Amino acid sequence: MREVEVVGVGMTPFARRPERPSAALAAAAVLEACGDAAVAWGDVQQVVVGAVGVPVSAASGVLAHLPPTGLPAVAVENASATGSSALAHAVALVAGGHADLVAAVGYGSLERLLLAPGGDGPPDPVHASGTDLPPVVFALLAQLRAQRHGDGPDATASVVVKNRRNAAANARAQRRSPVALEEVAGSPVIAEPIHALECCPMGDGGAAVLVAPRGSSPRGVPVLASESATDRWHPAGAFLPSPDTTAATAGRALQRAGLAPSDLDVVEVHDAFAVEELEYVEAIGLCPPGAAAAALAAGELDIGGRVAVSPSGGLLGRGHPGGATGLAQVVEVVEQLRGEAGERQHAGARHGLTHMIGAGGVCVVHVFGPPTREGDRT
Amino acid sequence: MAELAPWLEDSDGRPAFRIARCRSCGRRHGPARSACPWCGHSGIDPEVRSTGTVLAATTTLLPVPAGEGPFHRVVLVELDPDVVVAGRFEGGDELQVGAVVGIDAIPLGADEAAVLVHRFVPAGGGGAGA
Repeated sequence: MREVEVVGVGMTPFARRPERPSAALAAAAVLEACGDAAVAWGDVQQVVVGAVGVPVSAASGVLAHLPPTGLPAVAVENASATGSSALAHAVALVAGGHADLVAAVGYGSLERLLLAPGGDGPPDPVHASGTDLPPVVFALLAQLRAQRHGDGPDATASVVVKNRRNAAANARAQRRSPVALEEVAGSPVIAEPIHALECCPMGDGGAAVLVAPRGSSPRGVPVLASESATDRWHPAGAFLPSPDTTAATAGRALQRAGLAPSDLDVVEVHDAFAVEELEYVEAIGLCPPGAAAAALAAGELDIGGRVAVSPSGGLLGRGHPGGATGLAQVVEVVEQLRGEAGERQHAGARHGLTHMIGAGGVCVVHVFGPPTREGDRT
Repeated sequence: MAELAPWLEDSDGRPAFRIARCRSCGRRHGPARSACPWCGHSGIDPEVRSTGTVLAATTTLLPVPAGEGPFHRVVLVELDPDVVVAGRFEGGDELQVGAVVGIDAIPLGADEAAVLVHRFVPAGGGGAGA
């Protein structure tokens, strides 16, 4: 197996209602990633498209907005982890020697799926219970955490305040205004105890990541691990996401990368709901179980703290379209490791991790290392 | 008359959850599957549970299926240490973590295509049986 690196990244701003068609946003992100990598679109040998909520022929839909080269393209779907899964497949193509320059691109919105859960299939217990409505699931998780760890309402609201502060410094974020604790607590209750501002926005946008064999670019950011898993309840009976799946997947990824959780400098997690960030930073091993709220309150998870969690603004601030989300996390981590994150730069960032889960459930984790030639860092 | 959803069965005139116990590892799971999700063994023995203990509860304005709104209560219920399921709750304001709840069945879907799905109720009370 060959070692792999990220040679280019690109993304459009995320927005509730973008002005361009969704597939055109994906194509724009691909071209931006090519520019970032200093390669031509014609040099790209394969494309893996992660798409949700889009018409059939999701991969061809993106290529229709790009100069025709006839390259192979395929689409994958894995709920919220769709973009992350596209990257996992792109990495595998390069690692296996099937191609030397592969684009992972994500687009499409979860909105249509979330607003009409259940579908026309046979009845299933998850739909009948109401737990295919994500706020209901994570409200139950918040109640469990309050009992087990004593998390108060300020714990989840503080996640929102941190991530919105980070998003305010991110020109591509969907929610760019910072919020105060009181605003979070004063927003409408969606599912007790979850408030509206503790939920990520719906929207759309495109993101792309170009991968190549290690050593292809002086600015290449090594992919130290790419790990994916399904949990034991997949697909029915998954009333709650299993933190065990995140712990196991992240654990394998860190082991493969030869790192400990304490080695991580920047981390992007699936914070579609604020309570999730608390749960996953513990599952990844950044804090002991039950200690995330205290670490957050102490500023340990801030940019400039012990480890910057959701420096892009996370799903809560940057946004969570669906197809592009996991790749937008990679855009952030790559820019952080290159030292190119501007106002959001976490000083001295050398190792980063991205984490997404998808309903059902799936989990995808990638770990990244310092650029090939650190002397190029700004 | 609508039929019970496949994850339920009639137990002495009341709906009950179909769960299963693995003949290899002994652990239970539910809703029942064709193979044990803990060890993968295909030999499982069916069991039913008609009561459980509330682990967590939420109230939401979101449109929970088969709900009559505007507010819906959804509970997380432990049927067995290894079997935790969720469902709507109906009945009284006294619901607390640790409360024992029973199961009744309510229709989900249009009249002709409706199936009876689970809903949790205070133990010993609740609506119509299956």
